[in-house]
Amino acid sequence: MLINFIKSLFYLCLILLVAGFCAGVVVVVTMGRDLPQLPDQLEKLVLNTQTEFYSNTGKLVATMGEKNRVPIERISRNFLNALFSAEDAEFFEHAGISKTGILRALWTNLRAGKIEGGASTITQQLSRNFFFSLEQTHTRKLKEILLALQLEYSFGKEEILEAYCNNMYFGSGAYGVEAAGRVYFAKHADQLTLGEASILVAILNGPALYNPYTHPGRARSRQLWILRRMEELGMINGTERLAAENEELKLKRYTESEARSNFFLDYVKSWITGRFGEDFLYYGGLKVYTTLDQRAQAAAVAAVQGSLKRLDALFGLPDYDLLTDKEQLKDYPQGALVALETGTGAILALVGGRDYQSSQFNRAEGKNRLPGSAFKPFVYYTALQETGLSPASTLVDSAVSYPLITGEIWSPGNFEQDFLGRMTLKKALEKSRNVIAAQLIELTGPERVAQTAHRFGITSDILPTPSLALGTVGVSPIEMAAAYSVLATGGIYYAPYAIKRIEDARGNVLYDPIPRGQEVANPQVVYQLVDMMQAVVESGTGAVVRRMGFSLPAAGKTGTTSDYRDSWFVGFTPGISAACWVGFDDNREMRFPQNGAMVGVTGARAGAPMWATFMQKVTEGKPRQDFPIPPGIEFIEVDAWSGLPSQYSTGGERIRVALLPDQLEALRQKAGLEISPPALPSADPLGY
Amino acid sequence: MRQSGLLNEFRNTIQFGLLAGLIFCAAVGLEFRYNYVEKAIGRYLFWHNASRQESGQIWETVSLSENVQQRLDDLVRNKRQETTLIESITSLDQLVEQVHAREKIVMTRDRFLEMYADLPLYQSSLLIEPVDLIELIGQLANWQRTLIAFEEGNLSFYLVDGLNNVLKELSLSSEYINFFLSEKETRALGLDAFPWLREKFYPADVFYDAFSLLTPEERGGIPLSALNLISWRYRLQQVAVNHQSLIGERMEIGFELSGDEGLYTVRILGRSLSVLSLTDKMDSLLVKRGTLESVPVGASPAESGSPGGSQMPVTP
Repeated sequence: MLINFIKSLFYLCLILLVAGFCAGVVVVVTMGRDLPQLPDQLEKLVLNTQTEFYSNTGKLVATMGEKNRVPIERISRNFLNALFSAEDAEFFEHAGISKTGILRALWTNLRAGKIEGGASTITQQLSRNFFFSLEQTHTRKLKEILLALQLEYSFGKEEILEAYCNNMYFGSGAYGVEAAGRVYFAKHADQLTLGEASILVAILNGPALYNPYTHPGRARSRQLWILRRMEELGMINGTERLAAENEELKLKRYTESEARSNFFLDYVKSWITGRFGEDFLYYGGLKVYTTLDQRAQAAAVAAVQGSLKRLDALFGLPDYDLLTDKEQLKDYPQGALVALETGTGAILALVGGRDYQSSQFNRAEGKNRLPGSAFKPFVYYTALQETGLSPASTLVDSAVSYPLITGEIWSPGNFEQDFLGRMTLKKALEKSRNVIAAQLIELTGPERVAQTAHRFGITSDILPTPSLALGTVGVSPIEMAAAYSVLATGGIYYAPYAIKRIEDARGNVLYDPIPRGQEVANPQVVYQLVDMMQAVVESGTGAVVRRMGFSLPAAGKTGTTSDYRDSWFVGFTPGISAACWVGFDDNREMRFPQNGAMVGVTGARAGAPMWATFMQKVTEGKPRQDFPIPPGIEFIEVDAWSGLPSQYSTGGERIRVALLPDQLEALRQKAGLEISPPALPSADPLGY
Repeated sequence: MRQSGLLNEFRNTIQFGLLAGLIFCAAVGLEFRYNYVEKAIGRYLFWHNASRQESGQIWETVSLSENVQQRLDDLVRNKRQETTLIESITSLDQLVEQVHAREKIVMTRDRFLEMYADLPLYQSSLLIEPVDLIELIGQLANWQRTLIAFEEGNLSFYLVDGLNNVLKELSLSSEYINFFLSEKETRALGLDAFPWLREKFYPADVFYDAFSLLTPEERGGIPLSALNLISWRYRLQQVAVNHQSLIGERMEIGFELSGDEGLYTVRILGRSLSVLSLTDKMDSLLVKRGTLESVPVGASPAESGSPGGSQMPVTP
């Protein structure tokens, strides 16, 4: 009986063994047919298709898909040891799969009752990463194993290791250990210390999850585990482990131009993707010569971060740099700054947020923020151009109501919630009076204002309603900077652009735009508006620019939307046009406590100081340049409120206005008719 | 006997079992040590590697990369074809035709200068006077290329540096372009065919005599090169001036010449003051020679339908 049982057991084992063998053969033969072909040489896996980005002076700013193949001899021993300890301690023993590793993983998973870990060898990882999709199926796993076996049979251990080290993705755009060393530590692969090497190996476990920039905590704990494992395996001793744990790692960070320019580079990449397709960016091996002015970009980053920090302090928020919980980010205001060269449209600097590593959303491009009063120059230009009004023309700042096509009544009020009576248009713009802007759009019609804005380069959809006078249309900082540059150039629009030239790897030119201006506005009327907007900076809502010490000729306009959700300042010198925006991503109100009350953040409080800080830095050492005065412009001093020549003034504030000859003549004629100081009729909307 | 047989069989079975177990363990041990199975599978897969397809992520990447390289090559080739001026340009209408066909033309500075020199003076000087161009060359040390494109009907020339910064913009107005397109189309006709030029015809020798009486500045306003004047000396039949309308700020002069295939007319645009001075001098010479009355008078202006100014044909 027992004998029969033993015999049966033996035969059963034998049958199972033979059946298993046969099944194995069938699996290998059938699946083997579907496996992808391996190249003759593993070196073929390295595709040098790195795209390079250069500044406007031809300096290399950043690379994308950085891949620099290095031979195994030039890879730090620290890195290789850390790699073996974390990924495959038996690399030199197995033939593609680690049987002991599989058994160990099986045992661990059985005990845990769930899958806690796998036993993929370095060869399997190479097989998986280069020949298969990341889809987790049993068939794919088997194929991955089979191909790993062929890899081991076909190539030497060092070849496999070299291919692995040169091709694995380390996050932050770096492929291969050499690129990773340069991206994270500005070092070559053979210069990596134990601490640095262990961090790089930690990233391999999940480039997004263990990125030391975005998840320093996770990367650190994985690094510590790797160092302990190295000690267990006898690769390092306790002293070395402790030294590596305490090593101060100097990650290449914001001090580097590349990180500073991330938003700008994203804009460039998105343009290339739109024009040529994403593949060009990844496989084209392009050389992209941009318009980026690194000095201006550094000034822009500093201005955005500095201004937002001052705002954080007003809001009573903790220091942003010390923030560990990224969830708190939404409580911090965001900002954007775009600066263009006025005579070409070249984007010199672009910052789309306060911290690229925490949020990559490019607020400089987003067309969803209302410009508020920063939209008024388009209203004033239309009025000056279309209605014959001049900067000396007067309107009455008093309560007005207009019926809308919806049947509702629109009654705009001033920001200060008061009315100042009759005033010149120049004074009205300087003080950013909403009621006057509303009267002007009523005179011109909102369609005309929308046309002007479009002509000036606002590409966002504009709903022509009277409230457009107060900037109720979503725009982007790029659009605003480009539109204001029309004023700086005397009426010529240059479309904003960020790429000067694109070459392929062999130096063939693929794209090289030549910026061509388009005359979109009357230079004389433009100058009148510029003169009015200079007053905004000198003594109006943007006077903070002067108080902060920026003394070069400049013009601009503040913008604050209702309930303080957006704070803008868009301004320009003859050479640079810059738009600054501040607000919360969730569009909440920006208010802070002051003397027991909640005070709102205006364009003068956030946008304008950011602009002044930036412009001060970027124009440092540059010669003074005045706005050119077109022929036919004459200046006259008038009473700021009545608009009459100053000799007829009652002693009130006098301002200088730029007039065309016929406007000057009309003003003199009107002054001649006014024998006594002018009465202030409240019903005459034009008063000319 | 039976018990002993059973015992033997049991012993044999155990021995066989142990032996089999030992062999199995040895095989497993050897496999763990030497990886025979993996190597065998690896060898088998290596053996028919070539028959398998180049599929999978890395091959897709290779294919994508090759595809992008192909597209890049096409792009480079097309761009070169589109923007490189291969044909020689000897007249403005040829240039206009080329720019229309390619949307824009980019050429090196030297190629632009070559083309400028190849154009007749009465065409090139409308873009920029030769003297001014020489001065410009001296001023624009970084000028490397020139982009030529139509901008709102005008032919614009952008002189750019190596980084595509526009150093200087020149423009040829649509009025001049239209004039020269029409001039080319009607060249085979005699002066009689142009009603707006029929008012007064001046003999060739009168033109040459009057031209020699002009001051150097005035001569500069009649854009004819010395070579033109020399080669036309015995072929020029008569000259006429359009007094009815200006083209841009210039006045039209018609030169009727005799050629192998009969009479033809070259029409040019001169600076108004120069043309008026030339006309005065030609009139004086005619009076002196007493031939003023013999000059045929053309159709009235009302009938003539001068194509000057805004009545000129529109560029394509």
